[in-house]
Amino acid sequence: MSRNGPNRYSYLEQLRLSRGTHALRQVFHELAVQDREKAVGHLNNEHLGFPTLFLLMPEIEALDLFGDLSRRNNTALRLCAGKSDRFELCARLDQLLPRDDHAACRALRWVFDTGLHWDGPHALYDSFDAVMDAAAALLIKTYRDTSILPAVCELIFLRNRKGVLIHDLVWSLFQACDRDALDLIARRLLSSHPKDVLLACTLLHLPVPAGGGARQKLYRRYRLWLSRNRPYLRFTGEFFQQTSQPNPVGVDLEAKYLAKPVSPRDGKPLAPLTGEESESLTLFRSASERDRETLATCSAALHARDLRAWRRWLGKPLPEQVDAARTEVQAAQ
Amino acid sequence: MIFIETQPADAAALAQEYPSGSVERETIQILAAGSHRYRYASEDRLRFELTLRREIVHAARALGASGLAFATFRRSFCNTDYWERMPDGGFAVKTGVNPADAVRDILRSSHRYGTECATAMLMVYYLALAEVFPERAFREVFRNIYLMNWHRIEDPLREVGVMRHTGDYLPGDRRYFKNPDVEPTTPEYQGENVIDLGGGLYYGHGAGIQRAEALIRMLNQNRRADADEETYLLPGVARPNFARLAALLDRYAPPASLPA
Repeated sequence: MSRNGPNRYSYLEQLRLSRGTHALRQVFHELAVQDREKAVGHLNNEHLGFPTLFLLMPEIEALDLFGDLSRRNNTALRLCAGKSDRFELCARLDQLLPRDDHAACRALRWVFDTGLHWDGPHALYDSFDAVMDAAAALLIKTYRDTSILPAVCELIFLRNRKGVLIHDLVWSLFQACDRDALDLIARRLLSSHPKDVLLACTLLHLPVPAGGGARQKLYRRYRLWLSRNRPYLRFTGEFFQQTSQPNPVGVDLEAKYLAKPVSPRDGKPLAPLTGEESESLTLFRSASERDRETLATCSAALHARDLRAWRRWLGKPLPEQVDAARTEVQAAQ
Repeated sequence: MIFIETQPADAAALAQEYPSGSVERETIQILAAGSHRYRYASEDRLRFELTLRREIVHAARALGASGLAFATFRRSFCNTDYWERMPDGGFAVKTGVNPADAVRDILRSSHRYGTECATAMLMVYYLALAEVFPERAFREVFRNIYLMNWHRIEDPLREVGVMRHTGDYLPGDRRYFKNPDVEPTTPEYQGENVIDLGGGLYYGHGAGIQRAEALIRMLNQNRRADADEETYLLPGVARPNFARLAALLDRYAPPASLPA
């Protein structure tokens, strides 16, 4: 909202901000009774924010203004109706304006962007947040809009400070399967707010640091780990509904050994394996679990440092690779 | 295979002590034929696990037959005579209330409670523990009951939140059906936490007592329109740390006082 500047607020926005929810509803109701077209025009104004529409939903329903609403407002109210299990209203809104994916995506983005910083009446938190969560989930899962991830992350940590529900937003954040989301969370390790640090550790499956210095150290270590493993990370789909210690990502050791980036969503290599790579993988799989980890660590380090040396090393028999890798990893430690 | 201290146990004789079809007998049979060596410090410790597993299964069946409603965290509700509904949708025992009374009220006044499947699993564990632990022990061991999926488990029960690969599945184990292609606006159907009741049956809150195929069918009905992945049962299980709980109980009651 603020990015539009105060002069771009619609009439109803100004009314809500200056006089509050009760006055907004009362004035809108009186206006709609006197001049329905004008009232609908205010609702459909491009500078209206979603919180205002959300607050006026009872009046819109009482005056049956649904048929005159813009596609943006129709989509937003359809989402509100769905989240409050009002399936008849959902179906009616559906009938009034058939679904349009492109317009729906824009409308959801409007809901999310203009609703992000709303701090409305306490009694409406849950129903409002439920709509915000659903908008974020649809944008991320259905429309693959990852540009909202920084805002989703911000909202998660804001809500966590208030002690309200964050589960569905966290789920959406990880469902994006975007490695940048890990960076966004990791930055909170540096926060001076203890709740932020605790949540960041929980979400990243990290131990809780003891103090300020430890937070910095943990952050640096995590960033280093992330930079070394980023192309080989896949999202696990683990979540609080399933476990108390969800680990959002895992390192694909086979991919790391071959220096072959994988899809963060399903762990499949982004490019098909060559015959040589398949042979190397067969050898790799025959190594012990501990050696596989050492081989993968050494391979990634060597690949980043000296491509020729890496190719020579990968062409050696497995026992020689293991010996060299142990030396390399020990030296690095 | 079952070991008491260092000696193999006579599993057949142990099994004979329990009725045919009982949770205890099925558990002994699976442990005896199992892929691991199951070691117990004493026969009493084994019996404690059998008793608690039986009570977990009983509690799951009772909760399945109760009026406990399915509600998302945003709409969760509880009997506020005993519990405080927290801002995140979880329930905490009210100050001054006996925790065992609060836990038992969930069954007694089940229609006054509504929550998601993971929280219902915690209810099952506490209902079972309230049957096994004498009142004073329960009150002193479980001081911070907070019912809210696996996010806030008090220390004596922390292992129930962690799934591990065990190879064997026992009555009373917690398992998880995962629905990876869930409809984005209903993340509450992303999976179903269940208690293994033995005999191929599972209790999942909202789903009732079902076989795996029925649970998979139910979750598949809540997938997004262009879903291409089916719901599946994860291989891991979660179990309480029976040995630690038994040791905690020993501080208050001798083993002979376990409910028969």
